Amino acid sequence: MANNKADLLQGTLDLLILKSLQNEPMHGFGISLRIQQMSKEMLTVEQGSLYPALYRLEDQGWIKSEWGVSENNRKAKFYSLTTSGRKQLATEEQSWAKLSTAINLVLGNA
Amino acid sequence: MILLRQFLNLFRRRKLDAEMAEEMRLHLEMQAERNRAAGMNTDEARYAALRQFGNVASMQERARDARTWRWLADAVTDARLGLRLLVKEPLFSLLGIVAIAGSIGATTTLFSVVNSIVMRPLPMPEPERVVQVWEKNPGRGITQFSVSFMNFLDWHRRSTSWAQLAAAEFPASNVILGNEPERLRTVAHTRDWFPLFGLRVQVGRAPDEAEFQKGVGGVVVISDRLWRTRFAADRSVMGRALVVNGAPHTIVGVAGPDLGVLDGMDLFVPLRGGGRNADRGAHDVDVYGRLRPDVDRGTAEAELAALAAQLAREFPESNDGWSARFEPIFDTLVPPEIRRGLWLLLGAVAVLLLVACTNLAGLLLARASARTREFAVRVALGGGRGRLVRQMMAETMVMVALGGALGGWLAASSVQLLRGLDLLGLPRANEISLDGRVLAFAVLATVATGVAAALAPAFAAARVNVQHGLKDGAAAGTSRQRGRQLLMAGQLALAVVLLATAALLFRSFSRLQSTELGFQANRVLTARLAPGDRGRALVEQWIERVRALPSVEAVAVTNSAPMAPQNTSNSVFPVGAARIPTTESVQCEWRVVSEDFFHAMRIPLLKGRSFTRADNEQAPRVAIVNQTLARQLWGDEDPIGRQINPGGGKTYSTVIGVVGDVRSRNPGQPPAPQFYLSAHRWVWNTMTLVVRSDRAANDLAPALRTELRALDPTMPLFDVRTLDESVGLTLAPRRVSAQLLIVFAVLAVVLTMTGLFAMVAHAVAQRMREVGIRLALGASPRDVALPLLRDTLRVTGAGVGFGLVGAVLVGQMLRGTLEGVSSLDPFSLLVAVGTLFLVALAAGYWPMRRALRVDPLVALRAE
Repeated sequence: MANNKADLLQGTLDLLILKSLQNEPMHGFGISLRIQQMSKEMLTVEQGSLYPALYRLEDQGWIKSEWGVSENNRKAKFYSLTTSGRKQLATEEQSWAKLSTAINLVLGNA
Repeated sequence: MILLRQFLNLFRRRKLDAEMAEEMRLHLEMQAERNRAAGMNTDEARYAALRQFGNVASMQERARDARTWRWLADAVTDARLGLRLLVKEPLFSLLGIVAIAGSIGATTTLFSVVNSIVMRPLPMPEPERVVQVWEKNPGRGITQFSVSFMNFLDWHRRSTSWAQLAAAEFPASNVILGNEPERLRTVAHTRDWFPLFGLRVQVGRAPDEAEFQKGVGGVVVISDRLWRTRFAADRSVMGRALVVNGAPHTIVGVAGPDLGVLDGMDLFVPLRGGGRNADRGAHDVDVYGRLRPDVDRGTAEAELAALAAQLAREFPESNDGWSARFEPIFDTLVPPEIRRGLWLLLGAVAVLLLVACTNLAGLLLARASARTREFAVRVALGGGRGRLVRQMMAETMVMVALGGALGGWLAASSVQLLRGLDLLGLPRANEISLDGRVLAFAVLATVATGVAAALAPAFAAARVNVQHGLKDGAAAGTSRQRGRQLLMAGQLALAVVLLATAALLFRSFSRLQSTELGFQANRVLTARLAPGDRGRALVEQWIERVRALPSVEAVAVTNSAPMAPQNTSNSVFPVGAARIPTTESVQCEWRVVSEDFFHAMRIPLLKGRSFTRADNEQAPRVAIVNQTLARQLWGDEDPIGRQINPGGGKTYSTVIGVVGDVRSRNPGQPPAPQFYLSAHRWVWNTMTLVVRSDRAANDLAPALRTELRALDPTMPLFDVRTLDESVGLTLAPRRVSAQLLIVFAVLAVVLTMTGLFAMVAHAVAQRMREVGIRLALGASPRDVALPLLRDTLRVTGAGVGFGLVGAVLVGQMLRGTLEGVSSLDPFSLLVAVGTLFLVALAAGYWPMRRALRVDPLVALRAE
């Protein structure tokens, strides 16, 4: 539950998930922790959105999943970026940069 | 990519679900562990994790939705549910499926008939460019006449508008195949005929130019049917001789299997060549042509008119006043009346389908109201109303789909059946078949029926009031009652319209049937033969032998019997003083008849005398006129001794007798002017024998054949039928239409009755409790029944009222085709309205009686 933390849009969530998988494969719990960390506790992923997003990304072929063993010897499903996923990440990063620049311009000139 | 994967995921649901559950469980554990590491105890950690995670069940559902085609999975589930529902109430389901199957089957069958005959283009190349050409003579009031062969030849030579222009005759052919002489349908045609109709020759060749010039008596092309049935598809049949009408013909080819509009023809021979010493004034061929692609109708018409004018100048004796016109071949092959009749039948059966649909909707609505509690609970638990609607529709669609599939099968069988029947001369009957369009129609009809039937109950489910639904003893909302009542009124209206239309058609048909024809058709047998050159002698000998048979009252010959398809007409000019000038004429039907004709047909001889054997070539020309012609030419004056000039040439005939009028073509039309010539002077190619017997006419048929065979074993006798049959055939299309419509109307009434019965029974059952209370409180049975009665009457009144309006409208539309009966015929309307009122009363009576007899205690406990 987000209190005074920001809500996330679906497309943005996809971007964040892809980004968080950029360096190494991870399981769902790990992904949500990583996003929290990377945003310095400003963003919390609602679990209700996380798994549907993961499955959608998998169906679209940008991430793939594999059962493996986690750091504390638990069974977990690990997700990793595919080649097209990496490309998609780059594309989305560019779009986001453009979008935020545009919004900043508008706000700056408001 | 994603769509495909999501579709495939449908099939791996269980595995995916298991994995998903596993994954989330592990997530929760990891979260709980973290919480423990942060200092909570085991239980707290777990609860905190759960809270943080959210509603596992709904998340799993949302996750599942994200990865599959939710709607498809739902549809499959709904369908399975629907199937289970069907099995649970077998009687209801069976009735529903049968009603739907019958309606869709009938509608699809009729659609395939309409599609094959009216909608599909004719089976020939570029049918929209093909026309039939008629000659006309406006001065004599002739708008449509056969063409003179000599004129045709000149058109063919001089005209530039036509890709093909062909002429043909359809003579009767006596052919000897094996032991028995047979009559085969023949086309004698010119060279352009085959390319015009797109006919091909599959073995051998078509006649060549020289053979066309030589004309009759040379070569013949046989049909595929003849080749297979009589020559065992033997390719060496080329060069064999076939005796046709006494003359040997060499078989030069076999026509391709598909003859299109010429289906049924067996022999193709060249029409007599141009060198024939032909009479330009003899109009006896049919002409068809295909316009050149770069020529439009107007140009071709103008050219034809100009050519005709040219010929009229060159040959004033024969061509003066004659011109030509043409019309699209589709209009001549499938005349507008037939098209109208077919569309009417299709409309009627569609109405029946609508009635069945409405019936089903009403029944489903009742069933839905019984499930109010179920719907209320589901909505209360968070199930979307949209989902409910979809489920109701899916359940209905299962039943309708089954009905539709069965109906489709019924239609396929019916179409097969129809092709086998000889459908009373319905044009293009041989082409009736199923094709893609019919299949699409069947599917569309099924879907539309399903949607229509499901709409009412689906929306009833969607609008369920949760609070009311959850209460004990939920009664049906008034809105649902209103819905059912509306459906019922609609059904009644449709049934009234169908019944009224059926009654109208039936009245029209019986009027026609009872029309005074001018002759007596019972116990008369007719038979045709084509004696050829041996003509007169043979026929006269045969007549003598037949006359000698026991039980024969009278025997005569004519060129065409009344109500037979052969028609001859001519224009008659008066000679001398008359009510019209001698330059004007009356268009008449005419016949060549022998001495006993009027006696055999029981046509009254009003004045003068009939023909005798003495009226032959040596005697002066004589004629007999009918009353209508006499009146048109000479009013009330005595026509005996006056002269007429048939055809406007120089052949005058003296009137020796006047006979009564005869309706010989269309019983619905007033009798036409007619005149008769003596068969002892004129012999026609094909003669019809008319025999009156003192017992059943058909008994004479074998004897007729025997006597003919004794005289000439090579002469076939054909078209042997009683005059009653001929009359019946003429009326057949109308009779069949009326019969079919009556069947549809009866079915609609039965459906309406069951629907009404169900509705009233249901209304009674629902108000049981209320009824019980009121009875217990002292109300009389009548007080309780009255509101029920009032409701039923209101519905019936509304339905029948609208139906009446609809029936009147339909009657107006049919005005042109109803003969002898006004479109506002009160009898038909009364029958329709009265029947449905009675039906409504009967249907409502029983449940109401039950309601009145109920024991209040039982009613109170009824739940």
